[in-house]
Amino acid sequence: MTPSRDSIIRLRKVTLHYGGDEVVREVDLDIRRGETKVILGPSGVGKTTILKAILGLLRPASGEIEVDGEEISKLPERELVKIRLKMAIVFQGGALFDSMTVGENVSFRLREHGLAPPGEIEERVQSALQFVGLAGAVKLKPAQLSGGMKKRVAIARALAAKPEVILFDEPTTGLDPINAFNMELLILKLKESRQVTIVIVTHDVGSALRLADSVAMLHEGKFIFEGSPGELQQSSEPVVRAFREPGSIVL
Amino acid sequence: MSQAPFSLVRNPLQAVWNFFAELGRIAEFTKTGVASAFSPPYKRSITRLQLDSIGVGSLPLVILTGLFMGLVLALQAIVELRNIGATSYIGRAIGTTVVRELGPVLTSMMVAARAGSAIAAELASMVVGEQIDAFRAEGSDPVKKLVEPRLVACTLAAPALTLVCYGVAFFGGWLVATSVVQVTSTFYWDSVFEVLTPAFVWGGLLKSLTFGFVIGVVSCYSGMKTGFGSAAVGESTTRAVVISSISILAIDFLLTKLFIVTWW
Repeated sequence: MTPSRDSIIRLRKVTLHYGGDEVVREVDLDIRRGETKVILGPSGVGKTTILKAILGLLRPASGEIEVDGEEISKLPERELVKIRLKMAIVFQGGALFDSMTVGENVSFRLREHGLAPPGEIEERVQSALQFVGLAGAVKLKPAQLSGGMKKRVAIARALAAKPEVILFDEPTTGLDPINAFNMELLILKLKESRQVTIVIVTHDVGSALRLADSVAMLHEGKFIFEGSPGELQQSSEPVVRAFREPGSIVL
Repeated sequence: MSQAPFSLVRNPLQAVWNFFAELGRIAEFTKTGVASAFSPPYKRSITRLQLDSIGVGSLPLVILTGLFMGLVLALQAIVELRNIGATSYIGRAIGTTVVRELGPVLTSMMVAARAGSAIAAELASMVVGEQIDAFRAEGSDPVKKLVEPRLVACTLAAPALTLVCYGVAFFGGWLVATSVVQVTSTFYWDSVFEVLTPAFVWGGLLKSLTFGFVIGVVSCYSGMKTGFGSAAVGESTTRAVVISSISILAIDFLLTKLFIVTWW
């Protein structure tokens, strides 16, 4: 099987602009079906921009993005909706809809696109909330939830839609160590129990090592490393080493 | 230093270019919003909620504005009309001023201040909190879901509120007219209704319909095109109120001129 057939997401020579600046320059990336890929890099390097481009929320300045065999960079908005429904994203702050309850947030996509009958929607909402340990929160509003709970509801929202790919934007950022640990456990549980491709962007090397099947490290708009967590730990590339062991840098 | 004279030319040119570029973006946004309003599925339940929030929510403010406008107009009119011994015509003075100008303009200003700012702040917060991206990621259209209901609600609420403002302003005028210059109620109301010709009433309502649409477009645009961080939310809110208010005054001038030339 060729790598391109095996890949559910492919980026070829993709350049991305954000706020008028070029943040990602002619990058290639392959994400295989069913794997957990971590895109690692310091803050502000363009990791989230790549996630948004994969979802079609941001058009590349040049290059091609393929999702499940379909080139999406020039697709009209209406066609992009079909592609987006194959994926779900857990935003950094959860991005729950303030005006809706937790239950309405989790069932949003199912109701919006009529993906399931009302009885099944309720079942899927309950099951997704149970998975993230928030079965009793269905009637709460996002304002009543803590930061960690919001992220867990966002995971439930992603799960309820049963997507092929789940994208995580900095899943452990802003959480206390216990909540961050629980979030990692949740992602590991998700990885083991569901046949889903997971893409995580993070600046947390520890998280990357614990969660990833493969890691790609972004630095100054380019991927400077791609390999397994073991290879990341062994890498002698100076930037990777400095990021992995900040104490080794002499300032 | 040698570049200074060029920058003097370049900067204003850049500003003009930016202004027209922004105008183009607003026109594109307006086109998308209007096209959405005329294409199914219609988000009637969300529009009703927005009508309640924008229309009913602005009612107390519009009632107060209308009342004080009527009271003050009547007092000012008395001062002038007394000089020519025509205080009994106070109803005509109030009717004309309120229906043709102050009713639509002041009501719309209040809608811009209260509802326009709220729309811009809410949408800007949603942009900053990535909720707009989340809508798109969920395969939903934020224009259909968020912009269209607010645009339609502003456009419909402004004329309705203007009608309320008319009534309350006439009532305020009546309070002063009957208590200060002892004009009889019948004479006051007769003279008010004398100037309420269909041309004036429709003209006034057409103005407020236009103002409501402009408030909707400007507020939604300011909110949706906000920058980064919480400071951007404040900037978007301020921009929405300032641009809406100036637009109302400028469009009022143009419409008044147009109506005078055509059917007033």
